[in-house]
Amino acid sequence: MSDIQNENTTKPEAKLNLQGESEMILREAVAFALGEALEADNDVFMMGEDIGAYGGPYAVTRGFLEKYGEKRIKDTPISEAAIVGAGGGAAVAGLRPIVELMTINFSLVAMDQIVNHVARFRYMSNGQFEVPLVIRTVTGGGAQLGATHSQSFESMFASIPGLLVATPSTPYDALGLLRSAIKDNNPVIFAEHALLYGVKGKVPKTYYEIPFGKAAFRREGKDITIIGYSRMAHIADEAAEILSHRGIQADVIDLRTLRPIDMETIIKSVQKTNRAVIVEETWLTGGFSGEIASRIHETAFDYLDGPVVRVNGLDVPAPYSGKLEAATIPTALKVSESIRKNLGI
Amino acid sequence: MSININMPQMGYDMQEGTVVKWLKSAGDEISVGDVIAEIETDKAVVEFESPTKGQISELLVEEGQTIEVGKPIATIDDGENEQISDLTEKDTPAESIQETPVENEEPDPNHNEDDQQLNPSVTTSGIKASPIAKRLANERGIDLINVIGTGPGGRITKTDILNYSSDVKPKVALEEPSQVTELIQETPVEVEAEEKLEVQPDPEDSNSQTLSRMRQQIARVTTLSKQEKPHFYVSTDINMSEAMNVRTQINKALEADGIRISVNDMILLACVGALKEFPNMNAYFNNDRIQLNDQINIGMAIATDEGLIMPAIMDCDSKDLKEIAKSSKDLVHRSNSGSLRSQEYTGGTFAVSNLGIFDVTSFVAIIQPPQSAILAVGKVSPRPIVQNDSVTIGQVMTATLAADHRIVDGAEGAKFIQHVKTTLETPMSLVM
Amino acid sequence: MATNELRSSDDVGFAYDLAKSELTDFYRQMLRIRRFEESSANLYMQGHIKGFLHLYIGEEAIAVGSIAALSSNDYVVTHYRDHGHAIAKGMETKTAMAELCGKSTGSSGGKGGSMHLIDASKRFMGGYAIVAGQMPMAAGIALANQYRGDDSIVLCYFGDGAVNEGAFHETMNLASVWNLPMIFFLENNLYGMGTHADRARAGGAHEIYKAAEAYAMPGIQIDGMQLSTVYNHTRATVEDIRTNGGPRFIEAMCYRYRGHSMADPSMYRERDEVEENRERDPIDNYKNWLIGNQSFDEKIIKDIDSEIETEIASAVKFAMDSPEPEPDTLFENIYV
Repeated sequence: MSDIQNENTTKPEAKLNLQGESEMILREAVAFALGEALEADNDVFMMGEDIGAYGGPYAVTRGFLEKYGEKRIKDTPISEAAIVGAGGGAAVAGLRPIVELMTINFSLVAMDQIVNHVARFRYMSNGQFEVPLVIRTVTGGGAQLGATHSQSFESMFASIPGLLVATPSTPYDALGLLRSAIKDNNPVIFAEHALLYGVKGKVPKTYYEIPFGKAAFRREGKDITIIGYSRMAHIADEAAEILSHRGIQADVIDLRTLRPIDMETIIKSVQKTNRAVIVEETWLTGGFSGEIASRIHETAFDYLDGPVVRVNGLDVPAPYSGKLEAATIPTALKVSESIRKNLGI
Repeated sequence: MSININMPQMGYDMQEGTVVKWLKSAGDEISVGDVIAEIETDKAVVEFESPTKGQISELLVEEGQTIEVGKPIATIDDGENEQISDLTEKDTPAESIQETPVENEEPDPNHNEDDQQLNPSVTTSGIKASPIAKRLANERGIDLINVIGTGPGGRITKTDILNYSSDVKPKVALEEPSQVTELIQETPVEVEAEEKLEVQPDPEDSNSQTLSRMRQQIARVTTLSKQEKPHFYVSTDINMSEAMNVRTQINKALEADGIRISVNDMILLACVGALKEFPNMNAYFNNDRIQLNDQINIGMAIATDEGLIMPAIMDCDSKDLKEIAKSSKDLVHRSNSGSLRSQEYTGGTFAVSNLGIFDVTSFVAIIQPPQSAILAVGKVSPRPIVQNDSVTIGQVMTATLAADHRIVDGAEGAKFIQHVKTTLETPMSLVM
Repeated sequence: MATNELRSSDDVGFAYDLAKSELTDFYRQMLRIRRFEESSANLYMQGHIKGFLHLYIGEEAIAVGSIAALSSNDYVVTHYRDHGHAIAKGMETKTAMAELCGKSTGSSGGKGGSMHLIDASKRFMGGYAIVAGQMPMAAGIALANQYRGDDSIVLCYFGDGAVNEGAFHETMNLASVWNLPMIFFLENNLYGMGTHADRARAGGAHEIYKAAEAYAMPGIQIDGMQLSTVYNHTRATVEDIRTNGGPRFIEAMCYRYRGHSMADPSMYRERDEVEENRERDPIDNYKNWLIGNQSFDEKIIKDIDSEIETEIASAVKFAMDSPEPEPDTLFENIYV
């Protein structure tokens, strides 16, 4: 795993004034939420590969080991199953662990622990166990890291009963959602996108949380609904910008969490615009866009002026070549063209 | 006391087993854990240990016999007093893990879309329109056949419908339809090109409701009927006293068979007889031609939650009173369960609408296109009548015929209803 | 197959600091588990228990002996052959039986089943169905104890099949690197379902405890069919961990008299082998020792036999009479 992410330098901790907002990048927002939680609650601790001495593979936890100590910032061996399973056990025993899987690609090594254990403890015990575990991980492709380092599995986790899944796309959302995730007594998959750590945004200084299951509008318009999450929420917004130049105004909905998902906001929007497009980075086949499209068809069929359009990653393993890889990931232009082709506008 | 030993469940998906060999016989004393038989499952031959102690009373199956899991294979006397029964009892063997798929019930009792003769244009195959475009078109009475679709693949979109309505000029007079089936355009509202009509009902306004599909259909059909058919009406009062008596007697006789004749059944049969005499009443009007129907299929009005439907009892000319009664009950039953056949909807040649149960004395019905006549009957109620120069109480029912004057004229209509009256007033003819 | 020579197995010093009541309790507990298992086997054959049922018959000395060496603050995590551990850690037989029968009065309201008996109040953290899947969780609980500075330890059971799974290796390593206060307790009955462990384990399956050395973890092998041995060694290990910290490894050689589960006709074992191992029956041997060596009156034994028979019959009746779970419980306790 290369050091590529460390090339985005971390600014010194954003100086917070006493009022208003501060501007920070997504990485800082995540770090802020983690630090805040570690300070507020002794039961919170972190476990993961290279989060301590190395400063975090994506520099999120730079400085944490020095500040919070070895007991609370634990560097683990490369043992994803043990990391997740031990996180689950510690959670069941009353602590509030935040574990890290270096990338979502490696979560596959821990799949049994995630699905058959962590997500099942509460149900199989019929409520005797609570599992306040946060599994932070890094998702997404586009950095030429090859077929086994470029995948996006958050939609897979979103189909598992017992898990919650968050996919923030801005610093504001990352901070608000991570706070909620840490406070939640259910297991959460918190998927940060590899290419979004440097995204800037304003963050209020007063305390706020973002509840799970509440999408956000990036812009509003009456002609079409474009839905996205994680990095694709940005692509959706860019596509909306292109459409606006040909007179089409879009509602752009950033889902923020996949489980629970805010269908209410989506349906209300589709009832207004009569057209829906979903942009998602993972493979078309089996992606969550299919799930969302089905729900729209089931609930808002009579409002549709055409089928729900999906713009997903191509059904191929990620290639190394930059030119090839770029062709596999949705872009704003692709979204715009797909809308023209499938909806005639 | 006697206990059953059942074919044991020896694997989570085992359904049945075979007793390969008995290792004990009737009369043997056994203890818990003694091997009493060798049993073959689909995987292997296994030794079966006794779950209880006692003396074997009887071996119930033979070697080589295959038995379902849970069924008894032997009985044992455990030497205890009578208490609770067997060591057994269990429901059915390991059920299959898969759930039975949920039946997807989709009966559409109205079959509105398939009513080709009434309204082919909205959903005929070949016309592509988005759901919202269809909905808008329906609501505004726009025939999709006339709309040009600008969406992908020629799909008619919402915009196409909105733009269409602004092009149509308001009509002053009704046009003569060239085809029975063509919908008359509703008088459209002039629309400014920029103005976007609010098509969704305002959720705040509880007084404004969208029509259900069924009501939309009814609206179309009745409008059509009144626009193209010059209706005229003939009424008569029918003395049903005799008919009621005969009915009571018949029903007594048929009680054992479980058949009940209703008043309406008698009316239907009376109409059959009259229709045979006056075939024009059983005809369709098509393109300036009268089309006689060789079958008599009488529609009867059935009230559903959504509205009145008039499915037909097919082929009544060969039915007697009992058969009519059976058919009418069957039709009601299948209307309620949503399993009417399409020809029952569209194949009626005449109809009887009976609002007697609603305490209505008389009313006038609308002819169902493409039929030419309909008989509307009210309730049978005691009224004073003159009989043999004195006033007495009779069970009287008012019947009103509505007929299409393009095929039937006044005299014919009158004679028809006279025939019906006579039949009902001399009801023995119905049972012979 | 002949059983292996074991490194140590002795009951010298076993009885001297245990009260008579404690000695009787060992017998009672083992018998309780035995009768419970026999009863559940019957219920399974009658169709009242469905799915998978893995019987602990023959291995009772391990659950009873090792759990008796724990304090009530200590935790147990185990695999799917978990009825013995559950009962030994304090789950009531009627609650366990009701769970096996899928009733609402079961330990998980009928939603767990035989492989997932769980009683958090007794710190019996559950049986789990994925081979070796329970091991990381056990390490996590030990981690929490260490984190909080309390001296509870975790006893994690697994079988000879589990030692070949990735999760075993990851957990052994992590526990040793972090010095987690837990016992890795291998119940080696020499069969991973239908495969003799020698066929699955590099170097054979008769000294698996030596693998602990590769993880810098102390390990021993004991005779799991002798209650006294199990108790003594577990007790010593528990004290060792409480004093010196860190994980330990115990391999207990044992034998299961029944198949892997109720669905298993045990075609892979010779009848003679099973018969030979009957001589090692832990309950018979312990009973004989109580009577012969400790001068117990046979009447005490008979009374216990009768007491257990009544208890198990009543547990069965409880399970039979209990209602099934209501449909809306389907959606309960997925999330907090």
